[in-house]
Amino acid sequence: MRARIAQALFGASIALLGGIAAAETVRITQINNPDLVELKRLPDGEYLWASDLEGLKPPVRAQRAPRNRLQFKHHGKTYEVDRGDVTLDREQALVVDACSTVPVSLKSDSRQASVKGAGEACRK
Amino acid sequence: MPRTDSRPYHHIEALLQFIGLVFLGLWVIWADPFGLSTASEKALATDISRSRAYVSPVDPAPITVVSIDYPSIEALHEADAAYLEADDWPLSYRDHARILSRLVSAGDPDDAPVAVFYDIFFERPRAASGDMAALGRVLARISDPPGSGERRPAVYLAGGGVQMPLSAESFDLLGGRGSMLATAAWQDHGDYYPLWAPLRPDDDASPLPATGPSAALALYRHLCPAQGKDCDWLEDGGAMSLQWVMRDDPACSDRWTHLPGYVIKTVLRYAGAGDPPGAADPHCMPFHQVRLQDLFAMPAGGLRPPHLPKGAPYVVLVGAVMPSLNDYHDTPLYEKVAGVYLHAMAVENLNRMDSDFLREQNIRGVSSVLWVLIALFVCLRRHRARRRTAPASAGPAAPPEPTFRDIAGRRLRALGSRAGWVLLMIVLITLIYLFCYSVLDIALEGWLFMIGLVSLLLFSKDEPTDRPDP
Repeated sequence: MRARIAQALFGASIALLGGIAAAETVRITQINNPDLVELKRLPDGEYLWASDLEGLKPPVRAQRAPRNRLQFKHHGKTYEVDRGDVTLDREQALVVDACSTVPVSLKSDSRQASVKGAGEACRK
Repeated sequence: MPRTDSRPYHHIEALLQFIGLVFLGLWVIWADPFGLSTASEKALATDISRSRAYVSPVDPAPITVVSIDYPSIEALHEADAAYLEADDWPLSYRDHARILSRLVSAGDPDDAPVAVFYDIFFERPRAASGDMAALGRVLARISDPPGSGERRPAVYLAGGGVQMPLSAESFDLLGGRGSMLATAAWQDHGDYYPLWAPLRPDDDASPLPATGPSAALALYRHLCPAQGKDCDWLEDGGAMSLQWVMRDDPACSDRWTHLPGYVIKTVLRYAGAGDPPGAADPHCMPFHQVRLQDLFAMPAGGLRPPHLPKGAPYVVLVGAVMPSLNDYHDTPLYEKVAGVYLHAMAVENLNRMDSDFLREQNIRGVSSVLWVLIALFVCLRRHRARRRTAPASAGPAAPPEPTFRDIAGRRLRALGSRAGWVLLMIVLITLIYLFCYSVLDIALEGWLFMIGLVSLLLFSKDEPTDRPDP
């Protein structure tokens, strides 16, 4: 019985934390390349270019949505944008890994008999 | 008074020899038995190309190559800004759209490239990668920007080729504009890089255009006029024999430190000792090389090659650089390089040499005529020698039996003479090859085998030896 109560409490806490996370509010400080960023209007799902949305001037308050998207309201309507298309307040700068090298070339006698993701081998 | 051969069958014998040699030569030229000509010419072209790269390094080209590598994908996915949805290859269509947006949005229009080749082949819509139409909308927006007067780079996608055409579904979802496709796969050109190639089989009813420019030509058609050059020749077509070059940089191509070592290694290799010379450092390619993660971290204008003044035109190529994708190609200088660099080197060749790029030219006809002349020359020479020597053997006063010393001396002299001829032919044919390669911009076909054939002629049994026939 105790175990069941503990499980229920644990599940409830997870759900609560999930709800809090889902409702986390952030501040969009910039839409990167607004000419080429699509916004999805909810609930009809129509796509609009960010630059075509009249009067949209960051900063804008937004809430995190599933699949790494952000939702914000503008003139009473809700829009969704990809997280990667905007800059947030207090966003951590991208750390570039300067150590790893790009495998631009391979040795002439290298051979390969399968392709990534193909799931099957093919003999050369 | 010259002695003459009284035996008429010698004429017939000489004629038959001539016909036999002509047929032998034509067979080697046209049939390339055992791939001997192809293999030997490729080996020589590789060595010439390597030597040229060290002897004649080039200036950096107005070309930037962006590599989509696995560490970049991982870093951009895990970044606080979550620039990429995908954490591995293949990326989602929205990821591709975001990369393209970054490429064409340089801030200051003077910093933007004139054209971009996105070397990713969207063969058919892939459900797991999202909605391809979203990428199509961004491409259409780049092609037709809002407002007036704004100049955006022309964007080309890998359009596949005759053996792997783009599907009609993809073509439609990506905007249905044939002008955005560059041929990225071809056949029947060997190691050459065609300027134009089919985008689909002739009998394919797909809406794709029948042919398309190669990636290099598509980009250079923008770069050439932007540089103020005469570009009328660009529509001529043809195929390029790519010259793999390196940047003029002491760390890469210091001829006084690199070349002697290279020559010694090559000579040793031909003598049967020593390993082939190692590959040049791919960082020595004359391009500005950028990783995908740099694209998202760099300030506006960071794509511009550092040596280029602001406002000078340049082009960008983007490609996936991952060994597991199996898109690597043999080169004479850098061993195997990722496919996007093949296109980049072709742009470099066009940009540096314009219409003087090294062309594919089928000169088997010329080779055949030349071979007939060589065979005629050798047969006539042999026949005349026989006519001089034959009566002597038939005369009543035959010379005394030669000593072993005499025979050995004659044989050695004959051998030396023939070896000299063979060496002369090797040098002559190599010089002709070099001349055509360097001055006439022609990569010859079917020439190296002549060294072997001429050797065969010179060492054949009937070559005159200043000795009477037995």
